[in-house]
Amino acid sequence: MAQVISDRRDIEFVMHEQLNAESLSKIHDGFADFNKKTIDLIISEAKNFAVKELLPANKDGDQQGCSLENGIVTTPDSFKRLFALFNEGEWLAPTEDPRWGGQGMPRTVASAAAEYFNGANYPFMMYPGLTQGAGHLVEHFGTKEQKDLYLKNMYTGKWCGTMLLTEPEAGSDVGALTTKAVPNGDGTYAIVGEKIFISGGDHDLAENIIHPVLARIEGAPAGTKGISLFLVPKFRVNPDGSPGEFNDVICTGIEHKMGIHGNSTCSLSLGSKGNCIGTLLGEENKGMKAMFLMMNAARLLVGFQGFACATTAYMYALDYARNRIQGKDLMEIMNPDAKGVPIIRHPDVRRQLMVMKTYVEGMRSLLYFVHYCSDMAKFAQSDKEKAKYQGFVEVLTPIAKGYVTDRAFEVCSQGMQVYGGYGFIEEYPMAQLLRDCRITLIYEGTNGIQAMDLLGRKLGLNKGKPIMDLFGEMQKTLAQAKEIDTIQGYAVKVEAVINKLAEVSIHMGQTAMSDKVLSAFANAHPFQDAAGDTVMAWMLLWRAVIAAQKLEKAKKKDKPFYQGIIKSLQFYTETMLPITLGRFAALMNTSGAAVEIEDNMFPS
Amino acid sequence: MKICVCVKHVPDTAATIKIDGETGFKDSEIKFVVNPYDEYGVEEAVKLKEKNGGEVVIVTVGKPEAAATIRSALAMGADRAILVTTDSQFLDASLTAKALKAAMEKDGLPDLIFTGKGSVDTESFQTQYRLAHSLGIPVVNEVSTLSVDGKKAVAELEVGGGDKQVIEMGLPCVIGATKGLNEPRYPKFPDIMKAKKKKIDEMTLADLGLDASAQGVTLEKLEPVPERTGAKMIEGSVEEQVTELIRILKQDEKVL
Repeated sequence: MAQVISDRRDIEFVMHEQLNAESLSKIHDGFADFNKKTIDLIISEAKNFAVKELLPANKDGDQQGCSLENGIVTTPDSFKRLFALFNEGEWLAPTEDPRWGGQGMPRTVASAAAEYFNGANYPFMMYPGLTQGAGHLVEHFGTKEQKDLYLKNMYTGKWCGTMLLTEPEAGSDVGALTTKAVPNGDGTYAIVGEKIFISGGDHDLAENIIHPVLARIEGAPAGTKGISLFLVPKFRVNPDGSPGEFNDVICTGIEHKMGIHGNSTCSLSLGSKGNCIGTLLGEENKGMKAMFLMMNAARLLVGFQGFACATTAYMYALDYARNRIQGKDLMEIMNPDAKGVPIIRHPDVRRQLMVMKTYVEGMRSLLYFVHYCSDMAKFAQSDKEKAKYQGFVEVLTPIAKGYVTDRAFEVCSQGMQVYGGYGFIEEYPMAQLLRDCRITLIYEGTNGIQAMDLLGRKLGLNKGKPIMDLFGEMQKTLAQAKEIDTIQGYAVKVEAVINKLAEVSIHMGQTAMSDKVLSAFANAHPFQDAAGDTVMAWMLLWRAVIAAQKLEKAKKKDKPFYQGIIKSLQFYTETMLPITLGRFAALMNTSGAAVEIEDNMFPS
Repeated sequence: MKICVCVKHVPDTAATIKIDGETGFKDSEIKFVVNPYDEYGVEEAVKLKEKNGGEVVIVTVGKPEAAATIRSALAMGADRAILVTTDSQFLDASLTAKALKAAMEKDGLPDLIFTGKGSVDTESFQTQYRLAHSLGIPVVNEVSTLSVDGKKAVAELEVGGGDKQVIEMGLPCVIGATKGLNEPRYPKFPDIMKAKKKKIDEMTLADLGLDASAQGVTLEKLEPVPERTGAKMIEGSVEEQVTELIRILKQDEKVL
């Protein structure tokens, strides 16, 4: 097959033509080396590694999975070699500070590598991904001593990292956690508690694992206000940096899951023998806020995981549809001599492929844009600009996680449908993609939590300035699109939806502050769907503006590509935006049925 | 020690190639890579350099687009490159060898030359022999084990039936690398960044005093491999199946 995981041309389109990633080299000295040629070379090498090494180990990881025997967690055999190769290539911390062993790459550029890596084998990628995230916490909040002791070993993959939030009675409600931290009198704390659902919580890939742990210092207030963040290594670290005594972090079980079998999901018992020591990371009782630095990055990563499953499913389905011969052409149905045709000739299969194409393209543009905003939030020229881009990151994060993974799962399901019965058979890749994708809707804050974040926090953030700025950006795209004959008809339809989002946002914001607050939150997820649909429409319109402008002078080989982008916009505006308008109509009802129904009205 | 590695810019073997006209193909639609056998040569050269010091120079004869492929070889650890540009992907082996020789002579002859055992596009398996002959130095192809020590090289190659031939020769020499010689590395991220700053000297065939039209072999026509059809399952017991197979081979296909 021609391409796997991703459409390279579309990656280049988003990277260079939509976002002009090369321009980042001018705003920050550290990015000076990232010109177009270098970016393309990075994409080529990331793809090469993904296709040759990560992808072949994906099925193996699924089938062999992880095991726990005699207290030792074993990862799939093929993952050991992968992890060694991945670290030799120095891919673990591409966007982190070179002073601590990172590569200082713009996040925008790293998006392309992340897409190939995660699309090839995201259960594996969780080990380095969480390590980078945990390292980022140490870099941001750690004392000099903590940084010296941990950081370089984490960013080079010698040691791994995790995040320990969830407990049996504290999942979505993190504030209910009971893990305790008692001062030892020497600046360290004795940690005691039980954590569950810890991705990569214990394994055999690295000589040490560093756990950022949320716990409550004895006597601290209840709820999230009394939570502090601690660094708890699996093996205590000697002053010379070598791993020392076992730190009483015991893996008591691993979960048997629907998907991501290659990643060990552990129950960890901390200090069950009274020998677990941690050091405070950041300030006392400010742990929740600190942890959000990692959680926000992790939410974007989860959006990427879901999207990566979707793009991989799309490329497989497209290849299958072109090669699978089945059924006559509909126009030849009465002809007894007509031969079977590739299923891509069938209208319903084409429709499925178009659903996959439009979502995958829109999601790619959205996710890369959010990473572009992260780069700008850090390095834009003025503080005003930085604040604007930071606002975009915050408003778009729940959509990039919640909306994207909801749609990504649908895309994987469509991909399975294209394969017909073979899609349901484990011998083919669709079943695993669908299974692996499903967790992205749940972990790192369920998509319901994301929707509540969007409605409850992000809409009114900074008195609504970020959301207004976002509407401003959309207006710019609309103005450009209306100038172009070939797409102005679609632009008018997209504009209607954008205007509707503005109207419904105000309505939902007001309802959330009225006595109908519960009804508002019962409609938070549908609101996220409609807002996400609108952002997708904006992205598809933005892409079409570029494609329409370039089409006339395009090289012969680029013409179908640009025409395809405009077809995606046409398909989306004609088939999906009417549904979005329906969603908005439903939101204006803000139905109270779900909250009004008494518990005893459900079956007993 | 100066080592030259001859690298060819070839279509990715996973690509779907569409033939365009009689002798062309739509090369702008497909991805090109370092010829996989040449990667073993690059890896071996870089390993020798890491052990003994010296310099590794990539030498390529190909279309201007080959520069991107050369960057991948540079990211594996080679120091610099020479690109002799041509208009055609299908230069015949004798002209390719002449161009490689002229480029190396211009740059200063190396102590050791690597090629792949052949290229995956034209598969003529001649360039390394012609190059060595024109330089008057030894050549061994399909080398799967190599040691280089001072002024001599010892190469092992499989000769079939599980036997190995061991050949000792003086330097300089040409080594045709194949699978088993090593495991080509993936470029490290920092090396990818360094690769773009490394120098690629570009020159044309004419700059080297060569005439592109003076080819001994010219390409007449490209045709896609016909899809295999008409596979037939032979049913029945083993005895019946074998009898039927022999009948087909004798009577229908007339190969026995």
